[in-house]
Amino acid sequence: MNRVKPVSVTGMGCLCAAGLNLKSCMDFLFAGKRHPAPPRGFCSDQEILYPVFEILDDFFNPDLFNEPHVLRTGQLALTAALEAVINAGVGRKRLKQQQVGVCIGTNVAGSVQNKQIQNGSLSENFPYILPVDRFKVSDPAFHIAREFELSGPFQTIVNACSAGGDAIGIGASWIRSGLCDMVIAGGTDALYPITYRGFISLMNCDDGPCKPFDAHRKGLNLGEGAAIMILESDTCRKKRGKAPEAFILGYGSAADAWHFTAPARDGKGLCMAIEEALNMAGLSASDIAFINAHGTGTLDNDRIESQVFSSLFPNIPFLSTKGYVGHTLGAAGAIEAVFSIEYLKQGRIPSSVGFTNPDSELSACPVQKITEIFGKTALSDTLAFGGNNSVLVIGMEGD
Amino acid sequence: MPVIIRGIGVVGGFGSGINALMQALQTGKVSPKPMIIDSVNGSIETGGFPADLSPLTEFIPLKALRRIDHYTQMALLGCYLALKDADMIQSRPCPMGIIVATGYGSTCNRFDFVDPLSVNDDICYSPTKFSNSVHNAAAAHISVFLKEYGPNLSVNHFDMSIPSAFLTAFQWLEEKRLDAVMVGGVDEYSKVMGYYGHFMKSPLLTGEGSAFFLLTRCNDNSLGYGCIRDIKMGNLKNGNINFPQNAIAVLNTDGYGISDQRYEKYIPENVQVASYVDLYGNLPVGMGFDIAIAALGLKEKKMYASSGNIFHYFAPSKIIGTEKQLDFQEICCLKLSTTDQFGMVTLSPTSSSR
Amino acid sequence: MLNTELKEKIKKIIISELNLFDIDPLDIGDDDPLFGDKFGLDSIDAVELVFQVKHHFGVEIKDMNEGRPALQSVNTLTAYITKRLST
Repeated sequence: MNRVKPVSVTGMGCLCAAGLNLKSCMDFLFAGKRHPAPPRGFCSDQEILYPVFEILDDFFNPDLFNEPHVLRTGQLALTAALEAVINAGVGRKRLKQQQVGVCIGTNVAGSVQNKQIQNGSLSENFPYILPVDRFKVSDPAFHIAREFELSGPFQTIVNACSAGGDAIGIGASWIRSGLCDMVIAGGTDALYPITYRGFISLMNCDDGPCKPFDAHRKGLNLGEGAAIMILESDTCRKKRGKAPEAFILGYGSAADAWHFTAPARDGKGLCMAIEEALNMAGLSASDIAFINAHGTGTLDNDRIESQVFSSLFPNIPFLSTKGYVGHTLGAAGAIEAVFSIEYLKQGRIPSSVGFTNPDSELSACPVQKITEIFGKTALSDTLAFGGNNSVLVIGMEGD
Repeated sequence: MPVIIRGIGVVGGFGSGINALMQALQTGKVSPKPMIIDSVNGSIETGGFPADLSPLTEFIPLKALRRIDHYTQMALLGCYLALKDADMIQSRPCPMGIIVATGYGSTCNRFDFVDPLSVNDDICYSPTKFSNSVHNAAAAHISVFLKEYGPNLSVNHFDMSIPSAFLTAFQWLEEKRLDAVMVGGVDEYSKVMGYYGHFMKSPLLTGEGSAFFLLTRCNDNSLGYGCIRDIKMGNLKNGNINFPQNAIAVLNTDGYGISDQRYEKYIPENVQVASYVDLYGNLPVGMGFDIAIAALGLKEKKMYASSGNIFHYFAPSKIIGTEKQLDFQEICCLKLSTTDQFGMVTLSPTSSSR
Repeated sequence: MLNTELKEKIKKIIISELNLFDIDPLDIGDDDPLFGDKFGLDSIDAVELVFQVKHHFGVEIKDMNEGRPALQSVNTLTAYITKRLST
């Protein structure tokens, strides 16, 4: 694809184990803290309790919402969306009047919550919740559209670990095509026992705090959270006098077409996605100030990313934030895109926590301390279960 | 350059392939099959529309399917049939995007009817079963089998998944991101719906299947079934859906009760309506079959007689009750969600100019 | 359980749980490499086997450093399970 028009980001919201709003997340990251711990929100009979990055505070205030009866994934999405809407300075009335779409990424769209939902009475004819009723309490895009009474298109993307990034990329295309005046785009995922045990059974988890790119890395730690961006057309934001926070300059995605769980060893899909995103942004690799890597802490993922970064972006600093917040699955791409905007604003990136020992097999290493960055453009990538690779190019300057 | 439907692959209770769907349309009837549902209240036998996947071995050897579950196999068969229909199995525009829509997702029956008192629920956590339970599993397997490196998307928004998926496919082609997109929907037979329908004596039985479409941008009027002219999604609470005035309406009156009664309010006076839900049953991606039937109608230049439960909601004069010749008419497939949302996909003949 | 019985059970588990429907237990030699070309198994099959070993025998393989040598063949797996069950 040729160069496309940048899409303005006019508001952001985020919550995860690092904080209940974007500012507190940033303070936490730059303080270099992290608190992985065994799950407390649910019981697990695992012999080893693998650490997770859980939101322990009571983050959801139902009084702030017209439609608060949603499950945890929806609560996270609504909370982040409300912060983003307030941050964008756009009221509920304007949201109703404009053509506003919703595009949200999530891991299993709440369907794994079914197991909890259906533990109802066994003596009735219908102890099981109808699928439509399940959907009504578990689909985050529906929750946001319903809460803010939106009239535009809507989509729930279930692209596993790249869903959040894909949602932002696709939401941006809705603005560029004139389909929407605004798009509420992002990702959300809550921690659930089924996901927890499923990833453990895949032997993908570290039984200690994860160590992205480290020589002694053993796997990921799961996390939970949500991040939302308000994407807005120039016409719409100029009419209400809102300056952009940042721009989505490019988006690329490509499949490895290799294996339904393991990433392609040559990083082909990631390279294709990077090329597409840079072409859309009209940029080259040397224009990138830093990369927010997927950096899960698994042997394969980190090896492939390191290989691709050293080849395509030599000497460009990169980090993983999963050492701070865990792997938030469908929320990851969105949380990391929002973080990347904040890093660009501050002109610095936090250390890639968990990395202390360089791996001789990896040709590139992440930053080990808070690092000043020079430049106005960043790249954020996510590699999904199933082989999808999603890349966003984000910048502080649009046309 | 218009977005054309070049190939269609459908799998359902009517059989597999566009010819099987055409035969079902011609007879106006598909016989349901017995479905046994085990529940904590004992076994029940009810009717349904299961899909037969034996034709999949024409494209993929049985051995290669050992880890592929029923849900993904339906999606694979739909894709291969669409490619075969377009004569593009061996060679096609590259890269090709893949978009899979689903209402129930890949966990349709995985957690239903599991005895919550059981302590031995390890089966949920088998790595293979867990991997296949992630909702993008079907799209991932499709990309691996077809060796397709293009963008890969999975959408799960219950009964709005199909219009949502088509919207993205259309956008990808319109913005020239790609020259071809395989887009479609897949849903398994939902045991909960089958169980519910049995006790509620629902007139419409539960179905399963997949409907996939190979879309390309193309100026050649002789190719394909028809154009995708427009896709709209929105909220019914905001008023009129602006149904295209001169189109024929294909309505997904899938028997989720209250929502079917609302269709009459949104269809203009002069518009004729049809429904074909009895040929494939109740499933969230059923609108995919409607789009296939509409595309077939454009190609054949005729609409087949309705066979859905539309007769309760519209005057007989409005319903396409017998075969009707078409003359450059558009066909608009409409789905009103049970959650006050709507999705419309409008198709036009290939000889229309844009 | 006798050694031969255990081997037989392991072979049946491999066939049924990895869905190798075209293979008979007699086709699996006790020393055949499980992850060579003969059976077409890959990394996800390896973690699946680890899961099934825990499910059927209650023996947990903690990581693939431990798993890799144990899963080489039916013989190595039998020896590993036997050793773990006796401790």
